[in-house]
Amino acid sequence: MRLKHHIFLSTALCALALAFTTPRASAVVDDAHSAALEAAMDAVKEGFKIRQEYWNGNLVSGEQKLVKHQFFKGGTVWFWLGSSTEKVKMEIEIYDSNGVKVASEKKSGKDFTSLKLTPTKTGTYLIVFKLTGVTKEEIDWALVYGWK
Amino acid sequence: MKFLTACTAGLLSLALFSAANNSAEAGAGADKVAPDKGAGELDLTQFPGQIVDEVIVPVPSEIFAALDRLGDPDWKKQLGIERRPGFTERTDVALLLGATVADGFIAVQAEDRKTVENVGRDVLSLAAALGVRDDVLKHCEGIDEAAKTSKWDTVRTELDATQATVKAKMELLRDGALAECISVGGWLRGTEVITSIIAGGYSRDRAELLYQPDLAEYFNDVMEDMLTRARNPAKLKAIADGVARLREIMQSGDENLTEKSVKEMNTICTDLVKSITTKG
Repeated sequence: MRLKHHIFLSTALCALALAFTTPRASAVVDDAHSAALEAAMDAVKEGFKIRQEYWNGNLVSGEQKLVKHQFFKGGTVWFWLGSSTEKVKMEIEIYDSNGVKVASEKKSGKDFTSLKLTPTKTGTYLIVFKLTGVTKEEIDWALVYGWK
Repeated sequence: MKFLTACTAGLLSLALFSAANNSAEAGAGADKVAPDKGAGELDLTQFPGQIVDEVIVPVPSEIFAALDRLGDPDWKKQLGIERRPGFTERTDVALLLGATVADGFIAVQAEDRKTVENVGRDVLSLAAALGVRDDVLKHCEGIDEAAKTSKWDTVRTELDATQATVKAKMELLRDGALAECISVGGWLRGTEVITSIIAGGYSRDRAELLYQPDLAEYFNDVMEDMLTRARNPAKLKAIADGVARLREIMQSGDENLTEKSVKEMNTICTDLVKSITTKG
C-alpha cells in the first residue's frame, strides 16, 4: 500500500514538476521521503519546484540537525520534514546568519512538519530541526526543499 | 561569517525551539497552518547537534529565478562562447560542464533556441568525457526537444536535472569534490553574468543578490581540496584565489555591495570563466 502510494506520489510529482528523479532512493522506498513529498503536493500545484536532491537519515530522539542554505531575497522557499516513525513530535525552525530566528509560516500533519519562508534578505539561513519520540529509538527523517 | 565558522566547528549551542513553536504532534489529524513571528536567537556556544550539510548550493534554476527579478536585461549580450575546447583532465571537464549548463540558462533567458540546442549537444559531449553519457542522454534529448518548441521552463528543468544527475553519479563514484567543480564552474559563469547585468544598471537592492559569502567560502574549500590532487595546479590555484577574493569583496560591505565592488567581481569572474572555457 505504501509502495503504491509512493509510486502515485512520484508519478504525480513528475507530471507537475516535470520529471525529477531521486537518485538517493531509486531502489529502496524511503517512507520518510514519501511523507515529505506528500506534504509538498499542494505547494507543487502552486508552482513550487522540488529540488531533486534531498537529505535523509536516522536520528536519536531529541537529537538536533542543521542545514545551511543560500536564499535570495524575493523568492519563497518551503522545507518539508517527514518521518514514518509513529508518535513522533517534529520541530523545525529557521535562523538568519546572525542566529536570529526568522518569521515563517508553518504547516504540520501526522507524519510531517513544514516551514515556508519569503526571505527579505539575500544570504545564508540555518534550518534546524529535531524529532522526539516516545522512546530513545532511532527515528527516520527526510528533508525536502522547494522554491518559487 | 565568524558565526558560520563556529557553526562548522560544531561549537554551537541552540536555545532552540524555546519560544512557542508550531510543531507536528503525533496523531494530529488535519493539517494546520500557523504563522511564526520569529522570536528568539541561537546560542552558539554548545550546540550538541549535527550539521547535515555545510552549505546547500542552490540549483542553477534557483539562481536564475532570482535573476528574473532583475527586470528584462539584454540577455543575448550575455551569451557565451560558441565553441568549447576539448579537455582530457576531468577537473577541467567538470568546470567546463558547469559553465556550459549556466550558458544554457542564459540562452533560455535570451530565448535563443539555437544556442540552447548547441548547449544540449555540448553537455552530452562533456558528460561523455566524464563517463556519464548514458545517464544524461534523456535529459539532453529533453533539452533539444523543449528548445525546438520553445518550452523554456522544461529546458530549465532538464538542465537542472542534467547537472544533478552528473553530480549524483560523481558522488556515487566517490568523487564528490569533482562533482562540486561542476557547481563552481556554473556559479562563476552565473556570477559573471549577474555582475555584468547589475553593473550595467547598479542599485544597492539589485547588488544584494550577490551577497553569497558562505557559498564562496565553500567553493574556495572545494578548489583547495582539488589542488592537492591536480595535474594542472596553476589553473585551480588561480580559481581558488579568485573565489577567495570574491568572498572578501562580498564580506567587505555586508549586504551592501558598492558599484565598484560589483565591477571588480565582474572582472574576476570574467578572467576565471575565460580560464575555464579556453585552453591556456
